Amino acid sequence: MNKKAKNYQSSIIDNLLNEISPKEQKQTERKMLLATRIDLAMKERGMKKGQLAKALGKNPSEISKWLSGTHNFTTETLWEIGDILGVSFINLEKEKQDQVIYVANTFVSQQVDNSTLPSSPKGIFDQAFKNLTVCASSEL
Amino acid sequence: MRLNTIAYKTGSREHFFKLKEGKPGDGVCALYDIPDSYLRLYCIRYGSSMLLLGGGGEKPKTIKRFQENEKLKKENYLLREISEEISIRIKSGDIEWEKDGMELTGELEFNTEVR
Repeated sequence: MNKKAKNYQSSIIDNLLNEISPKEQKQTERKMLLATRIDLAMKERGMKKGQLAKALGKNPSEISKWLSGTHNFTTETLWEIGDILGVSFINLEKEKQDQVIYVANTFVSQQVDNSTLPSSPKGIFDQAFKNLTVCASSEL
Repeated sequence: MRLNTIAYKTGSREHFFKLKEGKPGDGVCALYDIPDSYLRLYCIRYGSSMLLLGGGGEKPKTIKRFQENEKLKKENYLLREISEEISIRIKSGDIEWEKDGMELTGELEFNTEVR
């Protein structure tokens, strides 16, 4: 008797799905994933919508809108929410730190391979920071 | 796009929906649309792992309750009826959950009369 649901095929739905650009899909996904992260952070802290709204001086309906995954957040709002919930949605400091370590390591390993180590540790870092400047400007 | 994300990334997490759009405990809810477009898509939500999609329509700003719009009322009441029927059939064993909790199997055809 275990009948399974039939696969529903519709040309209307197929056409609609084909009209979605990967960029639009990605944007929608990001909004919904961000809303999910906020919801999870609230649950972790046992925080209700009303409590978060009060902490941020907002109306609870505003929090529902944020959690619906349709909202376009400003960076300022994300920082405010992050401060209250103790999570970081945009972590600028960590990204910067990672970049410095990566470039410095690359430089040191290159120098060892070429057997042309600078004479002092200060020389290594001077050269590394020169490299970092070149990398940063070439990325721009 | 939102349905794609729910299907492949997030699951039907409750904060994406406007809950309690049906009778108490029947799982009928509405998927929020993008701001300012006022579309309502009615669904029956079974936790985060299963979502039955129904119909919907536009809920204009001029009305407060969906019952004031014939199309929305019809779509909403249809899902209420299906949800009730699913509960009855689960109790009687005509419909069963698959072991992974992701699918319903059994007598899945419904003849409904929405007034």
